[in-house]
Amino acid sequence: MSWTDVRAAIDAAIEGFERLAGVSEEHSRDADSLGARIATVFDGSGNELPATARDHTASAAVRVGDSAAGYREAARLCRDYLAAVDPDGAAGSVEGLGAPTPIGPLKGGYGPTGSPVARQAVTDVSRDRCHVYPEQGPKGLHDLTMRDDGIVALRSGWMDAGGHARRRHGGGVTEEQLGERAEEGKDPANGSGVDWETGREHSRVRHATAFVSDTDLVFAEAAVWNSREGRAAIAEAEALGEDRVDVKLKAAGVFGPDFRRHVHGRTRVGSSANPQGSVPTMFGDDTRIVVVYRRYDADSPWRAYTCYPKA
Amino acid sequence: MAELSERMLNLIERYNIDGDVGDDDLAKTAKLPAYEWLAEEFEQALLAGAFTTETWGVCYNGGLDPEDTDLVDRDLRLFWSAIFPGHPYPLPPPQETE
Repeated sequence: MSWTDVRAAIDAAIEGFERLAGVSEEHSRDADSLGARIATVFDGSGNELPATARDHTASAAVRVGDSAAGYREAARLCRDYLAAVDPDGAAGSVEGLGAPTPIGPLKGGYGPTGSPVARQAVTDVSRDRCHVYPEQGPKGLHDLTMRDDGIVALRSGWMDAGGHARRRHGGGVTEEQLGERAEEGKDPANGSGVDWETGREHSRVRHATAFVSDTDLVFAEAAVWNSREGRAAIAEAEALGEDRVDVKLKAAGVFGPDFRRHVHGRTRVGSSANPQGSVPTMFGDDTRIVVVYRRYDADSPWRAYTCYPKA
Repeated sequence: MAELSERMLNLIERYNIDGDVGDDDLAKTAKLPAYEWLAEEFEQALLAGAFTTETWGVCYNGGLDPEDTDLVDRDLRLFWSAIFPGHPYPLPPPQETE
């Protein structure tokens, strides 16, 4: 079921609850009127049966009134949910979104001539539109893929401005680039031994990993951000005044049991000083999706600095 | 050899991603009241030799090789400078391995 279907179902439920509440209120008024007439007729009667009928009528009228309040409350809860997850009723769409605002200084951009230029973080204008329905796991990813009218490109752009997630771990990073990173310490972001982010020597890593597509990357980041662990880590950092957070979720929890279809990598054979080639990375069941969020200060928004599968 | 605490392991993993040391962020974090423990615990662990290629490997995807002492030394110096700005690094460079 796609988010569009879910949203339509919830909208229909709200309409139904409102209608039932209206009917219940009308019945409540009828019951009140009927109860009043019965009370007038039978008040003062010494007969026990009419008095019991009067009491039952009054009791039923209260229950009808209560059901109206219950339906109204159900409608309100549904509206609150939609306001939280799809505030402008355009989840998954880039339609009508404003341009992001640059924040902070220029960063990165190191390497040989032709390297991607330095980046500057931007405000996040599309998070609320990226309701990827992460609790649905693989279905949520399918939903995002089917609804994508530019939202993945927009989310990728936000990540490009805030860090190196896509340049080093995105769908465009090839097996060859991953192999060069594992064997020679070449940064996929610029193809050289100079770290594109820091200008220092790019480190050799045993597992150089990436997502199969940018949609996988965007989905993974959104799943981590929306997760209970992600929310708790951000809240704790904000309480402590810390400007960096790392959150790790099991890849199987993000993508489902076939998470290996969404990640790939090259693993160095031999030591870093004496590499002997590389082989496809074996992603164990405990593979994690790691996201590092950073902010400039307490008044700045969080940005995804990196997001990658850790084998 | 001294063991690293869980909070120290969490911290080094957060501020060192595959050798990309977040020394700017770490310098600010080290001044936070919640991290009063950091300077003393880091110095003790450093002097006790607790930061090895094995323990430091948590920061790298797939860990480190025993001969990667140059990477650990480089990262530790960045950590030290962030936590103790202006103070000379207390350890000599690692010995060359043949």
